[in-house]
Amino acid sequence: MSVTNKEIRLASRPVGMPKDTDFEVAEATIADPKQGEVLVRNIWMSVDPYMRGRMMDRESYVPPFQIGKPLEGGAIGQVVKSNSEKFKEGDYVNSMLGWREYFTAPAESLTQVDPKMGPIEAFLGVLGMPGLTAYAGLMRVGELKDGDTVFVSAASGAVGSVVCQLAKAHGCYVVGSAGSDEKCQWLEKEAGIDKAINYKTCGDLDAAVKAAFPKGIDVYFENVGGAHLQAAINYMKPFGRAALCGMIEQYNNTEPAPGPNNIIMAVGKSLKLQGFIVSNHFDLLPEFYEEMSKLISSGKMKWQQTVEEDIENAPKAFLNLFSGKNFGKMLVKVGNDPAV
Amino acid sequence: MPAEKNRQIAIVELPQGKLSESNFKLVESTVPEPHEGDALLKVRYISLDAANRAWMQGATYRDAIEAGQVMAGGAIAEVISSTAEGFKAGDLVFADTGWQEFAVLPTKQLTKLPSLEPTTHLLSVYGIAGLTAYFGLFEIGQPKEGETVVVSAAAGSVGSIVGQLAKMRGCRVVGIAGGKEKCDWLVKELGFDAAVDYKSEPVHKALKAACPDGIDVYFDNVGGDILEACLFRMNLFGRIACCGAVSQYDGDAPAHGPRGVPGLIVTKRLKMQGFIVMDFDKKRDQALKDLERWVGEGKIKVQEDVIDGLENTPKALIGLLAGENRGKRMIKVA
Repeated sequence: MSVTNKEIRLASRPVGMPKDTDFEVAEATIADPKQGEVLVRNIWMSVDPYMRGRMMDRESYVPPFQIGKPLEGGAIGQVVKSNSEKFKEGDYVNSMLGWREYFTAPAESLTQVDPKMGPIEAFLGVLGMPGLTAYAGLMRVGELKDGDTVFVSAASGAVGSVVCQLAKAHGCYVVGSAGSDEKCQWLEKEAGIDKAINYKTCGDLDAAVKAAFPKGIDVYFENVGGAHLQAAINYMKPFGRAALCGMIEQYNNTEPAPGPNNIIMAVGKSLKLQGFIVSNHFDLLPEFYEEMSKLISSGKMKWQQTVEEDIENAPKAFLNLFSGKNFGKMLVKVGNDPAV
Repeated sequence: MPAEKNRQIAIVELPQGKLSESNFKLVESTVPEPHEGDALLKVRYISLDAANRAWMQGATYRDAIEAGQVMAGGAIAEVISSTAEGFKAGDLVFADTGWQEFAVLPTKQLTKLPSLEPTTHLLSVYGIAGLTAYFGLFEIGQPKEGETVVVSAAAGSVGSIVGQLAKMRGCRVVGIAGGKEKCDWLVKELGFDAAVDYKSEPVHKALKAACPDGIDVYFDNVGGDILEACLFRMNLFGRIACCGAVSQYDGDAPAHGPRGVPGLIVTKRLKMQGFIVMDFDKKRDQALKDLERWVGEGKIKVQEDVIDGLENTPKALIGLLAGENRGKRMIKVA
C-alpha cells in the first residue's frame, strides 16, 4: 500500500519578503514503512518565522532548505501503519516533517505526544518548541528572579505570550509590546500583564518604554531587534539580562541590519546580552512540562491560535506571519483529528 | 598646610564632538582644609583612562562630569594629614582625587595601598588595568586551553595584560592595534601569536587570516567597526567581554551600531557581557595575589607610559584617545 501525498516545495529562494511564487504544491508517492519505520498522516503543522532563515542559502544553526524539495517544520500526526515496536497505529507523534500530508520515517526520529496533557496542537505551541523557547530564554538565559521587571517584545506571539505568563506566574512586573490594539488588549485582559505597548501607534517607542519602567528593566526578552533592542538597552538596570531569541523584523532583510548604537551602555551597566536556540536546552523539558501543565490546568497559561485549513494554504499561512496578521500561534490543519 | 597653592585642571566646557585642550583650564586655588573624617592628600600619579572621556557623556556607574568642576580621575596619593582613624601621614592610597596637586576626601573614599616598588605598578598591573584584564578575561571570557582569544586596543594598559594572561592559559592570542610598531611589539616582546594593524589593513580580512579556527573569546576595548568584524568571525558559543568602546567615546554617537546585533548573537549563541572591575570586588585579593606572582615570575611584562607634569594631563588624555600610548599611561604629579 503506497499513498499519494501532497507536499509544499521551495520553488525559489525569496529575496526580501517571500511571495506565493516561491512555493509550489506537488504530489509524491510515499513508500511503505520499512523495518523500524512508521507511516504517519499529519494532522497539524506549524509555520514559524525562523523558516525564512532556512530559505536562504547560508550557514546557520540549521541547514538551508533545498530548492525543489519539500519544506520542513514542526508537525503533529498520527501513525497509520507501524513497522516498529515503538509506536502502534493510532499513536500521536511529533516530527519535523511538516509541509506534507504523509511521510514515512524511522520511529526513532519521532517523539510521542500525550493527548491527555492538552489538545494535540498545543505541542506545536505552548507545550512545544515555542513554549520551551520561552521557558529556556526566560529562566535560564534571562536568569529570571521572582519580582523582576520584564520587558517582552512581540509579546502576543507564540513565544512572547508564554514568556509574559511565565513571568507573571513568578510575581514579575511585565510589560509587552505588540502591533495592534487587539493584541494589546488580549495581553492585558487575558494574559494578565501589567502594561501593553502598541509599538505602531505609541509614537516614540523609546519614551513609551521609559515611561513603562520607572525603575528600569531587569530582563528583556528580545524577539524583534531594531528599535526595541535599542530602547531596552537604554532602560535596563545594572546587571540586566537580555535573552536574544529571534528577529522577525530582520529575517527579510537582504543585508544584516545595523545593530543598536548604544551597546556601549553594556559596559557601564554590566549588562549581559545572550543569544540562544531552543535545541541547546532540551534538558529543561521535564521541568518545563511540570511547570506548564500546572499553569495550563489552573488556567494561568492561555493561548491564541490562528488556523488555516488545508495543506495548500500553508504558504499563505507562512506569508501572513510577516504581515502581523496572525494572532498567537499560526497553524495549518492538514487533516482530521479523529479524537476531536 | 595653609597658604600653599593647589594647581588644578578644571573642565571649562564639556566637549561637543572631539575632546580638545580648550575644554580644560589650569587654575590655582588654596589647599583645602580637611574636616572631621577627611584626609588631606598629596597626589602623586594620576591614572589616564579612556573611561575618563566616557564619563563626560553622562551618568553610568558614576555621576556625569559637569563643566566648572575639577576634572575627575583616579590617582595614587599620599596622606599628608588625617582626622580619621585608620589613616596616617605617609600612607599611600588610591582615590578619585581629580586632576590636581592636593585633594581633601572623606577617608571612606580611600583605598589603602601596599608599599611596593615601583609605585607606578599600583596603577598599572596591580591597579584597575590589571584587575580589569584579569576579571574580564577569566570571569567573562572564560577561555579554555587551545581556544582563540582576540583583544582590541591590544597595546593598551588592559589589552597588553589580557593577551599575556590568555597566553598563560594556552590560547592562541591575536591582538588588534594601530601601527606596525605596536603590532611588532605585541608579537616579539609580549609573545602574541599574531597582531592585526587596523590602520593598514581591513580588519575583517586580516582576522580571517589570523584566526583560521575562528574566535572563541573577544575582549572588546573599542566597540564600533572592530566589534562588528569580530562578530562575523565568532565561533558558536563564543564570549565577548565588553570592557570599553574607545572608538565611541570621543565624538558624536555613531548613527548605527555593529551589524549582526542581535542576529549573529542569536544564530551563534554568543554571550556578550559588559562589566566593570568593581563587580568582582570579592575576588580582588586572589586576583592581586595571582598577578603579583606572575609578574615576579616574569610571565607578565608590565609596560608603562609615565608623563611628567600636571599641566600635561589634558594633552596626555587626548593622545590616549587617539591611541598614541603603549601600556599604562599616567601623569607623574609629584
